[in-house]
Amino acid sequence: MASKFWGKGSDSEEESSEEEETTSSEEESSSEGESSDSSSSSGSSDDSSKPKKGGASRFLMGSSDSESEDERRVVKSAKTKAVEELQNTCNDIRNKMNINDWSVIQTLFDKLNKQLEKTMKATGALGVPRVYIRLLVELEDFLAKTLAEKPKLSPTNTRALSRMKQQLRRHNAGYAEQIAAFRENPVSDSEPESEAPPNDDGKFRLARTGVVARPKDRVLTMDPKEITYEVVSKKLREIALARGKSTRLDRQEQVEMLAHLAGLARGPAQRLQVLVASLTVVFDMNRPTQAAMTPGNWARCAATLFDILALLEAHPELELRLDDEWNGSLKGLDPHAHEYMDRLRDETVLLALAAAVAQRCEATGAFGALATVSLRRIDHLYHKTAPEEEGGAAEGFEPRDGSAAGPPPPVVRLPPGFALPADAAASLEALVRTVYAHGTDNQKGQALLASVYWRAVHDDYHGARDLLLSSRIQDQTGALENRLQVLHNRAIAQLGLAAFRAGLVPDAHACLADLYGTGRVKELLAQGIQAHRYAERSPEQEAIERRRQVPFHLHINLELLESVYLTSALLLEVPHAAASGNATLAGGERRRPLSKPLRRLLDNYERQTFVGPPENVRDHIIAAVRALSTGDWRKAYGYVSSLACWALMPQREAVLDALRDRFKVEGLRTYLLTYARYYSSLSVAALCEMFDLPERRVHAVVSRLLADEALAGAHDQPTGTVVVRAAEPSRLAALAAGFADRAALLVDLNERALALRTGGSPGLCLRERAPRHAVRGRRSAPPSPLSPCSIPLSCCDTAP
Amino acid sequence: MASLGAAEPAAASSADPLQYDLTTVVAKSLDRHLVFPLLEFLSQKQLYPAEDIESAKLELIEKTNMVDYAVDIYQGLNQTDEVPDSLVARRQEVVNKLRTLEGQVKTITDFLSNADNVRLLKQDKTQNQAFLQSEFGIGPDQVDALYHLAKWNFECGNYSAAAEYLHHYRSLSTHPDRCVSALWGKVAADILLQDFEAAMEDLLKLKDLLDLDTFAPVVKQLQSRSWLMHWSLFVFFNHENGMNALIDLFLQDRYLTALQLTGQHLLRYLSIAVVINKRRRNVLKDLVRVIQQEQYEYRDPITEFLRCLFVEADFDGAQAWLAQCEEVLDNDFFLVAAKEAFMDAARTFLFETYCRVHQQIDLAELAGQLGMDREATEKWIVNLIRNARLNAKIDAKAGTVVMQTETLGANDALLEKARGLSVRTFSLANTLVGILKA
Repeated sequence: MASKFWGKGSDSEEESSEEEETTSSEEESSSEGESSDSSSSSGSSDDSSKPKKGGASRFLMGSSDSESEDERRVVKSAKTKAVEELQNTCNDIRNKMNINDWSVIQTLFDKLNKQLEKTMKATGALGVPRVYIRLLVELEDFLAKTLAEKPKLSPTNTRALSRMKQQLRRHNAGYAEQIAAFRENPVSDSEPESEAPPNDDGKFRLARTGVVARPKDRVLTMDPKEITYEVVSKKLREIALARGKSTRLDRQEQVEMLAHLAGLARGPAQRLQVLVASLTVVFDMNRPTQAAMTPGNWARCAATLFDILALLEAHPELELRLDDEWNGSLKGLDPHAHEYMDRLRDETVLLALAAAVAQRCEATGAFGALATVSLRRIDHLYHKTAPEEEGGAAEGFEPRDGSAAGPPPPVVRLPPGFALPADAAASLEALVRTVYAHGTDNQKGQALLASVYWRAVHDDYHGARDLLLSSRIQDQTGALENRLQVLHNRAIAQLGLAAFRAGLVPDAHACLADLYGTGRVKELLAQGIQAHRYAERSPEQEAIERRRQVPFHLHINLELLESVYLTSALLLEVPHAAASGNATLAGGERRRPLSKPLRRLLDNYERQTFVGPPENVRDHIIAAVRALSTGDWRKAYGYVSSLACWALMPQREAVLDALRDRFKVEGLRTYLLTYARYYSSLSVAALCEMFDLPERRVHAVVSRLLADEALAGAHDQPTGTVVVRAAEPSRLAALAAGFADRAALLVDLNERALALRTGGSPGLCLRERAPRHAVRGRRSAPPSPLSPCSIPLSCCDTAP
Repeated sequence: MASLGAAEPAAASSADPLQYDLTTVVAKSLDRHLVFPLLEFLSQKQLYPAEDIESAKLELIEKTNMVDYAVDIYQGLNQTDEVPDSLVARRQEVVNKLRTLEGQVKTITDFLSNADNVRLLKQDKTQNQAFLQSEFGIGPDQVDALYHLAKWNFECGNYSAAAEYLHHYRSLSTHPDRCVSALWGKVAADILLQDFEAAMEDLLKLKDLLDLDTFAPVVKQLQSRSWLMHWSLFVFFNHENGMNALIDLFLQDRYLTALQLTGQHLLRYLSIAVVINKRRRNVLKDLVRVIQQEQYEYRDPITEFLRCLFVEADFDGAQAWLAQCEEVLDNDFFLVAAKEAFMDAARTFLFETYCRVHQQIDLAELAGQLGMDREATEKWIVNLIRNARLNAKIDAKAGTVVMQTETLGANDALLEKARGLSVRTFSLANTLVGILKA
């Protein structure tokens, strides 16, 4: 046990250091790294013959494995710790198995399961650690053995045994596959007691590069002159054969080899062959579902592809995968690190590549592929705002020497003469048209949504909305792929922002209401995973969700979105609530709130005993609501305009001015609706002064209220006042009105009950509440169908 | 027959009086021949330079067969007596073609000129076909030729002959698509002959045909609806019950969609029909909603007037727009006749809404609002009061109009609510008894 323990410790230490190395630098390129690798791999090859010793020692150059490690083993990541704990518990269980103490085993088993969860969270791994599976198998076997032998046990233990039996059966069903896999291949897996949970890529690379002990290939050292066509093709075949045969193959070495070969290849055809082969190997090197390609490899791929294109061979499939990698690697990186920005710069390279591929496709008439490539280009363009475009265009001209810092990834040279199109709108339009012409339905949908998004970002709210509505894509959001659903939701969010910038508050509210109604904005926009209080998710689901996330540079600022939504809700809700309060007083029905999320916030707020000054967005909004509902628009506007996130809004000044105006008007309306009944007449001039509005506006607002019969009264022109007629209904009157309403409701219900019994309306005048006019036409439909599509977890595409 | 898409090349409107001129827009959805009346009207109004209009006409005509007319215009435009060779040759060609076609349909025209023969025809078209083939030797070829002859005649400006041929063609032909285009041609011919009764009838027939054709591509459906609406303007604004029919047609779901998608400028005509037609106040709300939705794509004084009045409740603004409406209507081919009615109705609208939110109005102010002098305003209001359209009194001494408003007291409101409850309960009980007995 002890040796295992040590082994594990040292191993994890190695891992973490290795991890650092890989993130900071590239694949091993220095001679030192190589030599240590090869020596360690030689150690490990011995290792497999004596599995007892523990896998860790294979990383140590045959030296004593404890002391030196011990001192360094101070810093441990949470990940390492979690794995360690898991292992300890496993060992404990094994000990207890030896003494047949089933009740302890049972408690330990529960503990183990809890730890497992924690570990998974800490490591962010997809699968279950092999140690765990191994234990499950052992437990199962032991249980079967115990049951068969029926040793004498204490009553507690017997009870625990039978309970354990059931529990294990149920539990193991969930891991049936992994267990089966383990049983099939116990030998190779039993050795690395301390082997990494399989998903830790740092470890994996280490394992992969470390294991194969092969002397430096002869070809590399050969004199270039000696290499003939046959030699190259033989080597190539060798590599091709090795593909997929063993996971322990040193891919990196192969890549080096191929790069070497490419330089030596005889004739373009063979060169091409070599290049394609090297691409495949690089793609094989990492597992597409999890980690992204390392920047170095990515750059290598891009360069290779340029080479291939130069050799007049286009292959859109490969290009696509490269792009996925690019996105993936962005997701994997820390958003604030320098590297992130560096990778973003690679976008230009990718676009250049895509443009070249598209040209090629067009020339060869591969229109299906052309659509795919165009879509890719759209993907990288649609979210850009004007300043970003300029930046991108400038980037295009710059010679790329971003590789100066850090170990040198192969620099990808942009083909001369490539510049991002200056007129982004036109180029995007052209790309979208290409997709419309040649794409599949899904692709068309994506192009359309991208185009909607683009327009919304560029302040063309009406254009974007019309495009979206006329496409009727909203009718089928449920049937769309997750990716498209996310895009759709993002487009709608942008639409809401665009509407707000254009001063169309009700439209903005309508767009965003559904997004916020669910309370799962982050998830709907794929910008982070929200913790659910009730629904527990399995790690697999979580991993799938994580993969669905949008990379950081595409994110829509959630704070801004929330501010916009709540502000528009506030502007609509406050006068609405005031009117509804009036109606209630007059004995009418209480109207439903327009914005439930805002209402909920308010209710929560009112429940609090002590309230501090506003801190976050919601606090500010609530403060504004409270100010506005007394008609104090200055204070309300002050709260809202002090939100920091407005700085993120383009044309901030204009938007805030419009907002200010809106606050005045809504304040006036609220004030009138709330307090007018306490006056017999109001002076228009005083109102003008109070709300800082010209007389004409005040007159118009009041007239509107009067015409809608929201306010009972009339203008008195000669005196310049508003005469209010509404008398406060007496308590009796209000009660009587309420009673009359109830009576009407009763009759209504009776009629309905009868109609239900007799089927249909038997000549009764049923007062249908349905709106007189059904939804009409495309645009007459209220913008409420702009609802986001929720992404049901069940229909997640399970990755291969 | 629907040889459409003739764009009017008249000068683009940018100057102020032309800002709201829809001729160019409307002409895009009209037949070439239908554009002539519009151009004639424009030349009368002298909004555009005369040469521009004349050259636009010439361009239109060159694609038709009205060679003689073209020659006239050409000579007028170029101040010469010469006739260009191309036109001479064209004339010869046209006449020849006409002769050939007439020769081809001789059998049919002979047959049709005899009224007794026509009576022999039955309802069933296929039966007729066989009958004609066996008795008179009239086959599908001749019937087709009839169609072409009609078209040729139409192109030559001989609308009455075209209308007649098309009528017969429709009774003989079994070709569905051709029948529809024949009907389009018939409508155009009717309009150009100013026979609006017939045009109205044919228009409704055409609408039914189009409504049946729900399997056509959506784009095509939209387009034909848009055409139909444009063509119908000729008819509706000249027919006695036209306004009603216009409202009915334009507010149908399908047509409203087409209007919102392709012809937002038609909102002007719809608005005017609604305002003038006092009995159709109920559709006002729908109209205002559509105007609001489309305001970013189309706005003119008429729609702005309605929007100011019913959305913004901005009476000054409405007043300002109303003043502009007059000019717009004056310069619109379709609306010029409806100007008086519209201005009157619009003013009433404005005033009524204004009164609803006031309890005392200064007469002088009101006169300014309505764009009339004080005397006329007073008279006008007295008239309104006398016709029981307005519940108000004029206070001559203070120079104000005082509205007489009755407010619903709490008691009345309660009675209002409770009324009908007992009736409903009784009928409920009766139904119940009926059901139990059955």
